[in-house]
Amino acid sequence: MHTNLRARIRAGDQHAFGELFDAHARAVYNHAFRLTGDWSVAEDVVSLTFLEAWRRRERLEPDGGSTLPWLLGIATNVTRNTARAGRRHREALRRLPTAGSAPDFADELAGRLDDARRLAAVRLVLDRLRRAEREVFVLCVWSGLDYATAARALRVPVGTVRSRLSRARTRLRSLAEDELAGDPIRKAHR
Amino acid sequence: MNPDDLTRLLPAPAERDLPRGRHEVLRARVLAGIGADVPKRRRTPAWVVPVLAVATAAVVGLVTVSMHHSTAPASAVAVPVPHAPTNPRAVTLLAQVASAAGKQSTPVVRDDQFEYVETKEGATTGPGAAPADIRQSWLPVADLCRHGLLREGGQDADLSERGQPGVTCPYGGDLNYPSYRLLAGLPTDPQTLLATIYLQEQGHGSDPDSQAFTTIGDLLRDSVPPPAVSAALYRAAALIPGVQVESDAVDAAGRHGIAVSRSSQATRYEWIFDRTSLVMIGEREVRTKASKIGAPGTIMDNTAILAKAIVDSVGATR
Repeated sequence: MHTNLRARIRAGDQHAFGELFDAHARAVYNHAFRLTGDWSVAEDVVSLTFLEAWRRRERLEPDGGSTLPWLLGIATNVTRNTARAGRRHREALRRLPTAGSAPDFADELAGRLDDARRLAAVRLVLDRLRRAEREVFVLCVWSGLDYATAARALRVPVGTVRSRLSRARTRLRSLAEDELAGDPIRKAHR
Repeated sequence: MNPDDLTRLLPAPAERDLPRGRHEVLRARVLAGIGADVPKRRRTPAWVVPVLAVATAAVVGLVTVSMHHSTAPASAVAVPVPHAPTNPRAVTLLAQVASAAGKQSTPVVRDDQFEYVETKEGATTGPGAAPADIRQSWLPVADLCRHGLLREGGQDADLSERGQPGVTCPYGGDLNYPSYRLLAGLPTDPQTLLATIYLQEQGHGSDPDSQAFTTIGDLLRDSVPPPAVSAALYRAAALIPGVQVESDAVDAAGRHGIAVSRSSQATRYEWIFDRTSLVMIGEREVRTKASKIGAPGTIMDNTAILAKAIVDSVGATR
């Protein structure tokens, strides 16, 4: 079944590609959001990912399971190259608090992350990981890819995935511990 | 390594469906892009195609989703993006604005000076509406690794690029964060300039034309380009399909003017000019369609440009 779809896509079957879109657009959309924290950027990433996938279709391995890891790898690359232009955005990132805001995150650990404030708290922590660590974290932990699959998706050795994830964990731990032992919680205010 | 451990540390955000109707829109866009049975339109000036076809081949190591390919279907990706036709009045207005900008005298600028820009930001009417705020920035003229300053809402932030990923000092910046020297080195032929912008912004934004308009707007609003470069940026903007004129627009300081605009998806981006001097006084983003964000007419972003100068030190305003 999967193999058949792969073969059809490799052969340039546009109908099969439509099926691929229907099956995986939602997962790519959520993956892009997890990487960028922006739902509208995530929409852009969906179209760009599938267009790029079509361009690379002949490099899709003929055998294998789900095509989703392949798409998530492409989406990860596309996301690196997709950001709103402009100084404002760059400067806004620069001014993200470096201390005092992550207590919000520690606060929210117990709860379900389903509202804007909690999402923002998670973002703050995630944004403190290096990009490579964040990508591996999102693929392996949030999207549930195993190390080998994530390694293929990102085209890096398995050992690299393992070490990036290990660094991500160490950094997340220390962030969380800092917060629990730190100053009283300061909420952002306007 | 136990991933469950990490999930407890940082739980995944709840998954979401694409907003209603967007799955179909994006699907149609992708299928059109791969050459399925959807009519294609040429959206870009003819001269862009050969320039980019050559230039794209030179870009190595990047994920390039080429929107402007003219080669075989296997690698061609043309994404039709609907936009209003260019209004000839917009082209005329941009020519007049360019001419006025080009007549300014070119300052003598030293490498140890700073680009000073003061704007008033807000007030927006959408969700997360913020009151107007004064924003001042001092950016080193030549080397962005030196310390600049951003002062916004009474808070100061350092603007040095030193130690940022991919930055080698001294650093002249890029099109999205340019030093004065980088701007001064841009081509002043409008077609060459626009081709440069399309190439450097490839893969960014929702479509190349919208991205080019946004990039040029950012440069005009937040930088102090030499007069010849400002003029070339306005002339380049006139070549982007879909530019329009708004007879009245209001900046964040309440000043009325005439605007050049361009709509992308559900937003109209306006560059506002003083009617007499034709100097850019501000910028505004207006929602054009109803959505969760707000009704049509909701102001998403609003800026008034209050001062621009080349100054000797951080903190100096003239």
